[in-house]
Amino acid sequence: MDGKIASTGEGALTTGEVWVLAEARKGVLEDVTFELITKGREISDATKSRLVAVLLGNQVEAHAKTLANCGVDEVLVGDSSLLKFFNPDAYSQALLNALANRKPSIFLLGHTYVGMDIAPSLAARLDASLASNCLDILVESDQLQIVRPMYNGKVHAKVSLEPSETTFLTLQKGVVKPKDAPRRENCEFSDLKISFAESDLRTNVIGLEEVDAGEVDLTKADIIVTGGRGLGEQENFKLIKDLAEALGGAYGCSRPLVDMDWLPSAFQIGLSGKTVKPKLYVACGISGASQHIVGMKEAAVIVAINKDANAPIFDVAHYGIVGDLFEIVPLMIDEAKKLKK
Amino acid sequence: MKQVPKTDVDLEIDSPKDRLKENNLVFDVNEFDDYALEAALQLKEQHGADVTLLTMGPNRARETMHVGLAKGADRAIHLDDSAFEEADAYATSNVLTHILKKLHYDLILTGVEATDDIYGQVGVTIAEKLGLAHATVVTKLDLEEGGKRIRVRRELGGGLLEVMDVSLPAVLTIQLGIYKLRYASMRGIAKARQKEIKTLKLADVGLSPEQVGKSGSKVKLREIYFPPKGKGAEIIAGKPEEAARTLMEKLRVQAKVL
Repeated sequence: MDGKIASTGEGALTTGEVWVLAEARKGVLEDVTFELITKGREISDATKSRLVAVLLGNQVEAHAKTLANCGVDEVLVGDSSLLKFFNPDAYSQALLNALANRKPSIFLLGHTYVGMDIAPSLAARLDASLASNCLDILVESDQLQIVRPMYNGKVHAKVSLEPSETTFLTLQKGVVKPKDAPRRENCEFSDLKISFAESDLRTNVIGLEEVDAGEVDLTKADIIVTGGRGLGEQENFKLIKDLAEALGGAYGCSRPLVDMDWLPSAFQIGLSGKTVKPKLYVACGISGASQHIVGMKEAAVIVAINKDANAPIFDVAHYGIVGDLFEIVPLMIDEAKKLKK
Repeated sequence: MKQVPKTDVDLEIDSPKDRLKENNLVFDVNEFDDYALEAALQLKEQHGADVTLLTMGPNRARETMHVGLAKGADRAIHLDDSAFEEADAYATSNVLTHILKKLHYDLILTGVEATDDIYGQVGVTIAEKLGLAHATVVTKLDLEEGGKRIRVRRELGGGLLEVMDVSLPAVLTIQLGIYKLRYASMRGIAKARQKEIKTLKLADVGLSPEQVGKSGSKVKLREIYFPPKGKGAEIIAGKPEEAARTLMEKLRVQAKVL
C-alpha cells in the first residue's frame, strides 16, 4: 500500500489509494456516500489506483455489506462503541491511525457537517492540502482540476493544490449523480483498528435530538413553494402560503426565516433542514446559497423568482423570472386560481 | 472575525481573472462571525468572560472591529499587512494560530465559514494547530460550572442535532441563528472609542512572507468566473403579467407539473 510515486509539480497526484468516507445516520447510509463512491471510482480509474470505502460506526456490518456491492475494491471498517455517534475526537483519532499506516493519495469526504469537521481536522494534523466544498473534481494529465464556489455561490473558482502526501477533498452534496457499479471480484473487508480509549477523548457525545418534524412531511409533498430573505417582513410570508395553496402544494422556507422565528425549523429546507425532491419547487426571494441548494436541487422542476439576475438560484432553476416577487407572486396566484377553474 | 463583500450586489471580475473588482463592493462582517461574537457576548453577560476580537484584513476591516467593540467586546487585535493578502484557509489559520499562541484563552469562537471563500476550515485548523478540542456547527452552548467543559448542541444535518461535552480550552465554530444578534447601542459606540485596537504586522506574528498570504496558501486560485447562465434556466422575460402567465403556461404545458 505504500508504493507511491512522489508527486511532481503542482496538483500532480501520487498513485496511492483513493479513499471515500461513508456516512450513515439513523441506520441508513447517506446519499452522499454513493455520490462519493461514483466520483471516487472516476478518480481511481484515472489514476489506476484502488478505491477504498471507509466506514466508522457501531454495529455497521449491514452498511459494510452494502458498500461492498458498490464497486469499491475494499471496505475499511472501524466498528466500535466509541464511534457510535459522530465524535470529532474519536473519528479524527481513528482515521489518523489508519492514514498513518496506509497513506492514500486522496481522501474524499462529503461537504456535510461531518465532512466539514473531519477533513480540516485531518488535513491540519497532517499539514496536508484540503480543497473543500468542491463542485467538480477532474483528473487531467495526472493533475487534479478542481472547481469550487465563492461569494455565496455567485462565482466559481478553478483552483489547484499544493501537492501533499494525502490530498483531502470535500465534495458538495448532489453535484455527482451516483452510478451503480458491479461488485468487484476481489473486494475485501478490512479492520480499521481503534487504539485509543474513551478517557483519551476530549469530546463526549451525550445524545441526539431531532428537530420536530412538523405536521406536513415536506419530503413527501409533490409541490413546494418556499420563501427566503427577499420577502423582507414576516407578514409577507402569506404570499408563499397563498401560492402554495393555489397550486395545491406545501410551503417551506430557507434558513434565515427560521433564524428570525418566522417559521419553526420543520419548514427549513437545506443542509441543516430537509432535503426534498418534489415534482415542482418554487423558490421566491431565495438567493440560492449552497446550504439551501443542496436541499432542493434534485426537484424535477425548479422555478426561481428573484430580483437579482445573478443570484445563484438561477444556476439550478429550470425556469426563472428576474423581477419583484411582490408583483410576480400575486400574479402567479391569480393564474393558478384560473387554472383550478 | 472576518470582513467580507456583500454578495447581493452585482459582482464584477477583474483581470487577471483571479479577483473581483473592488470599486463597487460593499463590505460587512461575515454573518457567521457576527453570531460567533454574539455567543461570546452572551458568555460575557452570563459568566463575566473577557472578549477579544481578532481580525486579519486590510484597513477597511477596522470598521468591523469598531462595531464588535461597540457591541461589547473588550479589545481587538487587527492583523494588517499586505503580506497577509489573498490567503486561503491554511495561510489564514497559520497567522491566527501564531498570534493565539501568545494569548491566553479558554474558548476560541469562529463562524462555521466565511461567505466569500466558503472554505469552512479555519476554526478546526486552528484547533488542531493549537492542540485543542473542537466542535463545529454549534447552535447552543452552556458553560459548565467550574469552567472546565462546555456542553454544546451541534447540527449534524437533516434536522438531526447532537449534544456533546467539550473539554476546555477549545474552539467552537458557530452556526447562524444561535442567538438573536444585538445592535450596538449609543453607549456602546461611545465606550468603544476607549477600547484598544492593537495593530500587528508580519514581523509581530513571527512568520516569514512565504508562510502567509498567497505564498503560504495550499489552495492556489487560478481563475474565477461566473458560472454559465441559464444552463437549464429559461429566464422568462416580459412585463410581470406576461411573465407570470407565460410561466404558469409553461409549467402546465411544457413541464406538465400543474
